[in-house]
Amino acid sequence: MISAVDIRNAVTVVLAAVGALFFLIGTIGLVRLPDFYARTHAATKCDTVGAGSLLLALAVFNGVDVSTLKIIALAGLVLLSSPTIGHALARAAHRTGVAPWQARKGRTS
Amino acid sequence: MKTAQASTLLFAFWLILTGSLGLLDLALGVVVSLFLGAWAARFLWPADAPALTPRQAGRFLLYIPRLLTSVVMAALQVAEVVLDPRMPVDPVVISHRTSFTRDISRVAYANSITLTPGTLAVDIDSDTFYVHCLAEHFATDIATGDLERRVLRVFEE
Repeated sequence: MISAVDIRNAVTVVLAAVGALFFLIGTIGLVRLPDFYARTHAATKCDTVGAGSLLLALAVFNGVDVSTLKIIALAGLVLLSSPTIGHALARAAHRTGVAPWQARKGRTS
Repeated sequence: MKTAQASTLLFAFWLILTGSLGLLDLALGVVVSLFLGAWAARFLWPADAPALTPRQAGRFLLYIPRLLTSVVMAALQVAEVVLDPRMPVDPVVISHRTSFTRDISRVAYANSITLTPGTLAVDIDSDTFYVHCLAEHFATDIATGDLERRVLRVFEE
């Protein structure tokens, strides 16, 4: 017989696995992508979803509680800070003259 | 007025962090929030604090789920590119001129760009946004102005 606790545990495991998977993909992207800007894509987007999914897993596991509010506040913080940091990195690179990698040469960007 | 807003926000944050309704915790929270709120209102608050009409606030709330969906889509898109053995990236940097009048719209626009698939806001030069795209077809929403209109509708109508 399947109890509510079983369902909650299953949802937690699935969400945590999805989060870990996105972190893994983000890291692979960090290694494989050609230049700084493309790597920033991988680092900001995959990590946002990875962290969000892991935090959601924790919130589900924890149930309705004050700590869950803290976890949701954390998720909000990640969602807000991730693109901001990605933009700050990209802008710093742009202003110090890091040229974007291009597959074909001789194109005006 | 600003102090009251900042203090209320800080006190709500305090309640979440302490998670306690004990008299001592509440009293301490009120004192700390008032002090920090007064300080924040004086030194941290921007000159034109982003005020939203109720209608804009409603649209903003509707915009959030849309943004959340696009974050997941963006991550999936990056995953698809990264896990493809051929790795089909052909990055371009495009520039797009906008007609925003408020800083909050510019912030929301830049954040939306970064959170949508394959695009990353790189720099802003007055009203021109520079956007790095993993491949040219990701730029469609920005080049046609669709994304800009969505942000305009939330904050400037």
